[in-house]
Amino acid sequence: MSDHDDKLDEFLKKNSARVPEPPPGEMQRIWRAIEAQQTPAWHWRDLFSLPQIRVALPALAVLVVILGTMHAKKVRHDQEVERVLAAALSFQMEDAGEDSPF
Amino acid sequence: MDKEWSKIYQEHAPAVRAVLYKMGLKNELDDVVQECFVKAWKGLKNFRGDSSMKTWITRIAVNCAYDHFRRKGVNVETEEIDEEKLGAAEPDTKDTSAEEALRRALDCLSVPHREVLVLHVMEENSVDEVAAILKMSPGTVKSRLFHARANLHKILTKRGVTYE
Repeated sequence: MSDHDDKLDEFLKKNSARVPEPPPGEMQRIWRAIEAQQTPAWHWRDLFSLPQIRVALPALAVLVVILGTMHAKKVRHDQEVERVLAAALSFQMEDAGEDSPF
Repeated sequence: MDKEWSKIYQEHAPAVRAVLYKMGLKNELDDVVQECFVKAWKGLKNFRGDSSMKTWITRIAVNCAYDHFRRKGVNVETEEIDEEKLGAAEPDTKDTSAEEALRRALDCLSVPHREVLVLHVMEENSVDEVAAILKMSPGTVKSRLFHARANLHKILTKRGVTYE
């Protein structure tokens, strides 16, 4: 490094701007900013605040109604089949009773 | 408040503040200091101790300064003197203090040149330390210092500031 550079460096060091003092309570202010950015504990209710879930909720409700209706229909159908079978069986037995040699 | 963080802040805040201010942040200084320490806190769990804490935090501060300059539309890639600023600046008179003249001259330097002068000359980090902070080779730092000094000399001479 030349003598010229030394003089320039000296000029830089001697005249470098005085740094302003930090504002009072800077450390606490920064810590509050850090705390504010820390992720809060997740709760299942937060799921409903997700925009994707909010959008999907009406479609989900329609799906639940359709599936519920289909299930009720199937139950009614099964009950009907059971009832007819039971009726047919009892008729057959009654029939068998009449023709029975005993 | 976390004790570890409080210790880091108290130890490094003055240097971070000085680097940012001397790099040219004025009104936004407090906000960028905050941004730097929030980033440091977030990155603390990934700090492996490959470099010293001082080097690591100074690197974060320099990166925050770069982000700030980019947001303001400053071209941080160039190493050329900002001729526009140099031409537009009021001429230095006898009444202009050396501190003010230097501040104006530094303002005309490119960000990469300003940062090496601030880190090495003003903040008295060694060339190796500056290389570690800026993640570049000591040779590149020396080359940048050479050009930064030459450009600063050119600006000061043009503005009639004598330092010899």
